[in-house]
Amino acid sequence: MNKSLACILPPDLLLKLALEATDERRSAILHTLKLDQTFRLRRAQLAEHQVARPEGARSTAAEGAPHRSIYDQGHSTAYTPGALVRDEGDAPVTDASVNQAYDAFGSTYKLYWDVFHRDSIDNQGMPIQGLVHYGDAYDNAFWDGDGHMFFGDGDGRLLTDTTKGLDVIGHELTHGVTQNEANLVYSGQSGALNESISDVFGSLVKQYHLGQDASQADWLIGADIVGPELAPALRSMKAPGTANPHDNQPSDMDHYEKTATDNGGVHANSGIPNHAFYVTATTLGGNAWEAPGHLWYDALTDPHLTPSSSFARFAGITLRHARSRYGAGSAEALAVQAGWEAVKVSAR
Amino acid sequence: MHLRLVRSGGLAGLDMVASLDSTDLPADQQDLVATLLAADSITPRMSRPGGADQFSYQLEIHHGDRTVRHHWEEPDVPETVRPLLAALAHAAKPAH
Repeated sequence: MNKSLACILPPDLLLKLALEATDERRSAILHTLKLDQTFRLRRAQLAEHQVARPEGARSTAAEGAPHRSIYDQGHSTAYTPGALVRDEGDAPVTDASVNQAYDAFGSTYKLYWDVFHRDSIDNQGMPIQGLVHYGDAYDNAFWDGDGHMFFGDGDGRLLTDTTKGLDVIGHELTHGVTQNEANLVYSGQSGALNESISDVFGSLVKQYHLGQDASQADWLIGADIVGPELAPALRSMKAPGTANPHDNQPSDMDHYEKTATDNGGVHANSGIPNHAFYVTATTLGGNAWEAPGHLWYDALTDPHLTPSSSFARFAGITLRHARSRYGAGSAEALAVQAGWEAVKVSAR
Repeated sequence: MHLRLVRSGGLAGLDMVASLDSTDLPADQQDLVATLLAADSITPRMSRPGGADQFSYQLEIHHGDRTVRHHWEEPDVPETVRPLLAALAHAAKPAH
């Protein structure tokens, strides 16, 4: 496989091809993956030597402002955007779902810009496109991997209007951030990590918007969108497995769910790193988007976090950043260590 | 014909299961089920990289000594099949 093709195919697709290939082709594909990772590390090294923008500084007028577009799918299941119903800067409309999506995207952009100096999904001002009223009584919201987020109105039983959840909208947009950073493969442990990162930053969007510190947050995911069958919430970062009668999330590695469904249980096993973040944030105290949020963001954007990373690898990266940023014996490093110990993940 | 649907994934990550007889469906959907029974089992194509929180559908159809299993990822569900899957999902209950 030549280098030009390696630049076109994303790492997770290369990994899938490797799994399905003959022995001869597999070694060529894995060599390409190694090359791809080498290029990422080299780009990061070059970036370190560029002049860094001081924290808190505002640069050009184009940065620091979202570019939001909300489309109405009109209950169709089309994958292309329907009618544009609210564009950036437009006044609110009569459709509450449209306004909720627009405002929540703004809050999500604001967390990433204010706290992490990230300019949208790709850190280059990528347009934020939300497609509401997808499907008929569609009980779901998702990121399509192609720059769009889809939101259903819910069936009234499992879920209600999914645009009502600020943490849900932050969750979906964060899948885009992850795709543009570590691009974690959406299965097994790397997939559960992908899910957890979306829950963590989705929760931080809500906490930042409400001005809640770690002790004030409820640490629930989806509390504002669940119907009676999934009340009071989809997931709990504080107590995985307790959010609703069907919640099967484990809270530590001893109870890791081995399953073939849901890409190897990515929504179940996300409970483990979710709880690690909760323990880190509440052990340290204060605002969870500050030290804990910075460390999780540092880890997500660290080139050593590869697409197939395990919980242990991610834990190791968070711990190294904690020691580097705050000191080996700092309260922050000890809190991160406590988080991973609580869920029985040995940092690697 | 007996049908069993397992819908997994989605934002909630819930496995939803529906099990019913094709006579419980409208006539046009019964015809579709017969067509799906006659077809070879469908396995999912490689899903679009980077997608997340999408549903995955596994539909099993039994009739006599024939059983077929069709598996679709959300983006690849044929439009003609969507109403059937939606009807089955509406009747589904959480697996746990």
